Amino acid sequence: MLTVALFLPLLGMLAVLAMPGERRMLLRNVALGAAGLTFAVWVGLWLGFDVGAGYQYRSSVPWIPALGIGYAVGVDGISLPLALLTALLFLASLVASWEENDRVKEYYAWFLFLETACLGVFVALDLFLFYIFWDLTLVGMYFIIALWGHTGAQAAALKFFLYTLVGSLALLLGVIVLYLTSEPRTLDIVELTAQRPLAAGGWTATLAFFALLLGFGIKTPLVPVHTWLPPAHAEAPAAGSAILAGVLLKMGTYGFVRILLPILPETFAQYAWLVVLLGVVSVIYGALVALAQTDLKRLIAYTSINHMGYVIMAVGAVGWLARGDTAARTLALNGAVLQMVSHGLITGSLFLLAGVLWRRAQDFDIDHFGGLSKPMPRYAGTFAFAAFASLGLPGLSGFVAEFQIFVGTFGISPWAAALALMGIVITAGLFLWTLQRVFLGPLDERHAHFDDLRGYEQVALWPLLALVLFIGLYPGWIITLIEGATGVLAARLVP
Amino acid sequence: MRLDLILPLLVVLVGAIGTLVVGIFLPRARQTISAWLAGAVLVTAAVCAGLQLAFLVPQFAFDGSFAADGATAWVQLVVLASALACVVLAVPVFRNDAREAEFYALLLFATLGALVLAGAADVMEMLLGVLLTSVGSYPLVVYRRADRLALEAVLKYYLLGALANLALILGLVLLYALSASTLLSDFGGLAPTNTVAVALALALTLAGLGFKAGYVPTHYWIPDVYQGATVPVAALLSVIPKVAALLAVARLCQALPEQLGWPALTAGLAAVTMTWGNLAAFRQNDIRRLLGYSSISQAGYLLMGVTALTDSPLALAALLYHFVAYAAANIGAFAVLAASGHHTIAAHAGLVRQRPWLVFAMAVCLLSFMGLPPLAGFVGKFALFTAALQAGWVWLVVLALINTVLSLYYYLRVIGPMVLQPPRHEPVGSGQGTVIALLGGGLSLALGLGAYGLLGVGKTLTLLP
Repeated sequence: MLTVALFLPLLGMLAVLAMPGERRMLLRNVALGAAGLTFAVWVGLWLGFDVGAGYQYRSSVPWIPALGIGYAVGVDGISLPLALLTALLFLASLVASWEENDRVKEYYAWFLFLETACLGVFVALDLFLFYIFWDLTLVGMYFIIALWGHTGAQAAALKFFLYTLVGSLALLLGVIVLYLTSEPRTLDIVELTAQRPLAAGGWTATLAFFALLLGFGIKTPLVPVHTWLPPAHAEAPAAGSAILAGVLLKMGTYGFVRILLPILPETFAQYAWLVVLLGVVSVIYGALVALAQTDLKRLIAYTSINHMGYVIMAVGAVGWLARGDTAARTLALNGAVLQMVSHGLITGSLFLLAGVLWRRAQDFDIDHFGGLSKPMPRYAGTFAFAAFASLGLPGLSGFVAEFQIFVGTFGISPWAAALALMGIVITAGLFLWTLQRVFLGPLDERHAHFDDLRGYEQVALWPLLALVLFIGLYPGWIITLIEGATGVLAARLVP
Repeated sequence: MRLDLILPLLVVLVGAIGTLVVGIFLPRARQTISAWLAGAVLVTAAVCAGLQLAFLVPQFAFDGSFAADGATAWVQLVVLASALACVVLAVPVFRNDAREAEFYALLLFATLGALVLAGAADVMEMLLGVLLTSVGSYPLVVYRRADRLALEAVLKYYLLGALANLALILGLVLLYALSASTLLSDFGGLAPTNTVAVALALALTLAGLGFKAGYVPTHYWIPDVYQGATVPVAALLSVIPKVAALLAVARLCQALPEQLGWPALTAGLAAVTMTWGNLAAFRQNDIRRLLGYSSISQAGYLLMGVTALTDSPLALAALLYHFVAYAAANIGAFAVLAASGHHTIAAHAGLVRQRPWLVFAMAVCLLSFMGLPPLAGFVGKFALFTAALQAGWVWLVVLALINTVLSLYYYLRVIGPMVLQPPRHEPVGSGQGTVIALLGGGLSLALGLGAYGLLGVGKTLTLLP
């Protein structure tokens, strides 16, 4: 069943490829149908999911017995919310691309390909399989940026590919080290988690840890290996940016939670201070640099660095075994996973909203705008809602996640939590200032004829934001789901 | 004397002579028959090699001078299949050439040399294989005598080849002098007492074999020859001598005692070769030259497998698997050039609008070189890197990973314009090229996805002595 949910988008891609390129409406409907069906199947999987029962829907087929590699998939309370987010965000992005008219067939084909690759990263329970999907996302994203991006897209796409490939290969090194040190040799994540092959420490453990840290850190991205992100976001098409921020960045943090922390807890504990530090630096640096941006998409990109910084800080604190207790760890871990979901929804919406503006103005420069709330009241309202969600307004999902992160981290490393709190203050000011610059003040007459949110744009955006509100008001259901897995993980982390 | 142990060699030998003789009697207009003949010979030999792979108990033939083992049969299969693909590619290029029939005879002789080299367990046999491939392939490169680039290429190829073969002879003679035997199986007793002579013998032999395998420092001919020769010949030379010579290097190194320090030497060669090939590929605008440098860097990765040979049980399987991955991707990439009829990156701009499947094949082949999962090149590299790490070569693996990142840049430089830019030229190449390109691309994908058993088969094979 999980395999079906995983490869449905790929089937959709094949269907799209088999159709004539001129029939755009048909292509759109087929692609949307595939993405919609995928989402429906994932919702079905979620409804049938037994909270707290560990990995479910597992299937495992030997694949390369010579290397102990299998096709192993399964979901638990950490990966299921992320997979649901992926399916939802791809659906929303494809809806938001309704007016895309350039090379339509290839456009939908690449997006559906990318969807399977992203889902694969979250459901893979074999490191080899995980790595395959991980690298395939690079290919998909490369072509989406290079083909449908803005003026500097090809250079940005190349930078994205090269930079993140460095991360991939560091990851590959870590994977091989884990494989060679496991006994019996395996690449199965569950088995490796049980084995903890590098518990004894030593230089191989350090090598594996830093290789994986670099691999996941580039993807997240953590300061100082974040520099690929702003140009990639700035040049990508809006839907591509939404996926990049909403889904691809989560792969980095997911790697921390799924692989680095559970398989190498001893080494992680040794360097947890470094992870916390990197998280805090990303929080503050991302927020400060975002302040200086005049390009709307770059601004959102830097707030992403800031938001992912919270996640890393929390994960680092969780791994700091010398401090805190299991309750604090569970809380911080819940916050981290929820923040991934929440950031995906909110930042995905923000990038799609930036795309709305691009369709009308072909411009992202904040200084060129002003008073847009007059011609586009619904747009202004929607944007303001997303911006408030992003700055962590209580009652919205970002607040729930960040609150748990801060409370949990405070119980382990109060200084880090206190420092990171500055990031919240800065982003709050930043978003208010941005809203003021874009939507208030005098209206440029060239912008007076802009039409408000179109039908399909509302269909794409409002469900995402409704979910943000729903999680903000009733977070219980998703926290229960997440805690089914994080509780187990936190309980295993004892000094 | 068991002739069945060298059946593929005999088939190709008889076939080569037969093709030559038949060619004499064929009327000019119908000489393409000799291509069919050569193809039939190669298929027959491949069937023999396949049977050997499946049923033969590893053993020496002819008093220990020829190793009829799994690795030999495997590499012979790779060589024969690649040669067959090159024959198919050559048909439209050499149709109605004044010396059409002789081309296929020469191709078979060059292939025969590679088959001998693959199984050589005696230094004289090794030399025989190297010389036979050399002599067979010199005229292939300059088959179009009016072409100035081809003339320049063959001159470089021939002069450097003569020098490298001389080095090989010197090295092998020294090995003989030190061990009092020409059999590789007798080299196990070589003691590093006479350090200078041993080091010299090792260096000269490896440099000599490097001419065929295409690694530093005897790799200089590769880009010029790939550019100057016709595409089918370039495809042939990029695979056949290379895999055979690398197996010979592996066999030789494995026979030597490890105290001689050969792993350090091959590790150094691997490091320099992959880096050199990659960096030189950066600025190439002619895809044939770019593929040349890429094949040099691939030789570097393959040498990692040789380096790990005695310390990792996975190394031989990794090496053999990557031979297949390399051959499929390389033949496929050259076939794309045969199918498009162009050579430069710029001339292929926008090809995706004209021939999407060709671009698909090219992208799969090049990304397989780079090592993108789940393509065959990735599995090969994964296995090679794992073997090297297992043998303790951490720095080499890190360097190889860095090189992999670098290589992405120039492979994307080829794929990028094909997909992103508007078309400039009409493709003018052959249909055979398209077929082989799709086969190469399809294999690169299929060997990665489905036929993972291949690595398992590789693990069961032996490399004598």
